[in-house]
Amino acid sequence: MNKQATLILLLCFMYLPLLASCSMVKRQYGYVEPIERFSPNDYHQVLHTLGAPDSVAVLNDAFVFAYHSVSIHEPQLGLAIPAFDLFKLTLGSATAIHNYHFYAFTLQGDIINLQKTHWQNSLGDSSSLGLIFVVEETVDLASFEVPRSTNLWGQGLLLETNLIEFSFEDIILAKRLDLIGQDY
Amino acid sequence: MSQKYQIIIAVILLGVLSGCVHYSRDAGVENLWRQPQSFINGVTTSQKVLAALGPPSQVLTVGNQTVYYYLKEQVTREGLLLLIYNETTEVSVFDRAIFFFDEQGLLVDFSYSKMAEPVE
Repeated sequence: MNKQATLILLLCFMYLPLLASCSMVKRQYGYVEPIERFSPNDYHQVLHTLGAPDSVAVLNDAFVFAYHSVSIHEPQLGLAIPAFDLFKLTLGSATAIHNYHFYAFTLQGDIINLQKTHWQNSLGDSSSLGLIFVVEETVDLASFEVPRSTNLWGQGLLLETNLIEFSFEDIILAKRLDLIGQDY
Repeated sequence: MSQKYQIIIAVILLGVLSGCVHYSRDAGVENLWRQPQSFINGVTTSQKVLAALGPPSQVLTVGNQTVYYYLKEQVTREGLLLLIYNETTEVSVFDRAIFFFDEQGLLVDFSYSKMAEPVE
């Protein structure tokens, strides 16, 4: 290879970062096993079919099992700025696909109501400026990264109720469902 | 410099200009229920479950039943960073076990979460 070819090769390497690039960020929160349509009579059948629920809520005269999973796909397009070779402008959008099962029982364990649903929603479009070799998040997913309320249950018991801003009573008494992506 | 060496240098440069990332974190209790256990409905007591699995993440009261709920959260992130294409995958697994006990502390029913399939 002569000098001219070597020079062209070097220039190609130098200009590669200036090309547009793309990224794919995938996130999976939880898992709900696909099942055939079934009509359980009590919570035992639900437990044996779907396993331990993702969240349990206890009401005055009923209790609820929730199974929830979320898949997030965030494709991104990165554009390098010629004047700042190390930085990249990233445009991205994210879509969440939810799989949700809801089962309500009497306190004796008999089924009251059930619902199974599957939907997707946009989490928004955004852009970011970052280093060219870093995958930046372009959509705010902070609500998906909060600890599960179950893991705060013991901590909530230790808090002095007169001093704290939030009582965590809903968590301690399990009066609410803890859904993925739902902030406190 | 021969063409062979130039190709080798080009491949090395491509390797230098790429990267990968991996991290994982856990939260919650240790998922001892994934180890061999012998829990039997109507026989196993709540004390035996506690001795085998440790303190639960959450204790609930459902009617006249007591519920022990265990949760372990495992997050793994893997990424491949190349020149013109990057891909990262983060998987959060919520490994769970739930036990129902009657007023005498005997096991009524129990279940573990179904294991997640890897993201495609």
